Amino acid sequence: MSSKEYIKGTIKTIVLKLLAENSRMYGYEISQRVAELSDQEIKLTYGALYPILYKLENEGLLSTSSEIIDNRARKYYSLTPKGKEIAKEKVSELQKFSESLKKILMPDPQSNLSLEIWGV
Amino acid sequence: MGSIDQNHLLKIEKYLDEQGLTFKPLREEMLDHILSDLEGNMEQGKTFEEAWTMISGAIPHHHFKSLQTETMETINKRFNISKGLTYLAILLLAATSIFKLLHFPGTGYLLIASLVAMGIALLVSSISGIYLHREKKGQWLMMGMIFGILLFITSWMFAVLHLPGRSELLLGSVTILLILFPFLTLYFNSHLKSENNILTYLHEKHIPGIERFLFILLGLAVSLRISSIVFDYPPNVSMALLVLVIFGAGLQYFALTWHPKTSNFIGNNKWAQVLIIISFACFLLPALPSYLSLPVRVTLGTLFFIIAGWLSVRKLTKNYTKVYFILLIGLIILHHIGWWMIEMNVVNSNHSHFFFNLPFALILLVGLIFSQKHSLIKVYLTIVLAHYFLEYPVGKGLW
Repeated sequence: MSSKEYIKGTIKTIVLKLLAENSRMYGYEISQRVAELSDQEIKLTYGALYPILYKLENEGLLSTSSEIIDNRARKYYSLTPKGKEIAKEKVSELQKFSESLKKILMPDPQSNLSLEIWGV
Repeated sequence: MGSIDQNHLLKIEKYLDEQGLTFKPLREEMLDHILSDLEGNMEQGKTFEEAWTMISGAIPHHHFKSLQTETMETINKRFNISKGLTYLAILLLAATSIFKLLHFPGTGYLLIASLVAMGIALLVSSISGIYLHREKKGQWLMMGMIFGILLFITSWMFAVLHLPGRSELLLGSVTILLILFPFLTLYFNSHLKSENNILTYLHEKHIPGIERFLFILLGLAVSLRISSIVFDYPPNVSMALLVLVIFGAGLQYFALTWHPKTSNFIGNNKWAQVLIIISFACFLLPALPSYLSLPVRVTLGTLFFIIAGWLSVRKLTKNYTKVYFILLIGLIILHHIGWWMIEMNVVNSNHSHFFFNLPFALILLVGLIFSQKHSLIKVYLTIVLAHYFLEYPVGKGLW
């Protein structure tokens, strides 16, 4: 599946959703979790993930903290109270959109029936 | 199978450097991401080389450079008001220069308007930065720094308006900065506490913008100064602009030493830390003409150029680059010793053309162009060039 073009518009919501389910996560952890949940179908590149994380941080939706792990700095992201609200909204919006999309993409049983009438 | 050792770490750091990743917060995240990825692969039985070949092979060429650009743009989008005010300040400065060239009245007021815009831009970006990153430490220290800088800008407004109290404002500004800067330099370098600090975070984020602003300001100031020499009219406006460049570039030079990883500069070297603090005092104190005599100010100014010049090149690694910049900085030091001798009347001022001449100005300009990859040398040369035109043919001490 060429998921790249679909990911762009949804990555913000994906990140918010994951962070709503986990108290804090770091960049690599987010990318691994997305790959795992999507059965390796969605792989976030550095270029797709990090600008979004910085953007969300700048918008006050994420707060960050750093810790030294194995002699290197690791930056953790968590949702701010405002981020938690927005996460709910965005996830709900995406679910509705996904439902609508499903209706469009799913084969219409009635159209099949009409084709049967015509002997196809 | 194995674990990540120091050599592996150095290899990845070198790779990130080659990719042009200089924004420290992003660079550290990329380092952690790649190392975590490598560890994950090595846990599954791959060797470091196999894992690294796979991971690096999946990263497109220039990916990190464009990621950095995109991240910086994303971050800076938030600061629209301060960005707009900065552009307004530049526009007003350009208008001031044009008015001065055409001998129109009102240049003083335009210059003041530009200084006001600059001050507000600084204040807005700092306050919004503090608000957006409330979890970071050092907010009061940052406000202290901004207050010191604003006092300096205000003192120049007083100078343009010929208001009393300019010396006191300058004294206040220099005192605040002289207390805060050495403290911050020691704090950040000795304890490696620049992590999670609002001042280093915002400074690092704004480095490209600060450099662009200084470059434009230098261009305007030098153009105006050259035209005042060629057409022989009072150089007041160009002098004010050159002083702003020296002040801004000087603070930028010392602020770069807060990021030892980026500038590879001081680290835990105590001597370098002492020298940087001495050179900071030598840089700022000449800004107090009402309190210090000319010989003292000129001597301090010369010491600043010598120490800061040496500190700028001491960590260069590539041989040919190092030789070029050592020669250039040697020449600059000779120039400043000559300037000192003229100001101290050791050498007759009729001989100033030995030290202030077109070929030397061109050498400085070429040096500035070649120094684009070396932040510290670039900002040092900006100060040298602004000071050269401030003093040309022979002025009255630094600032």
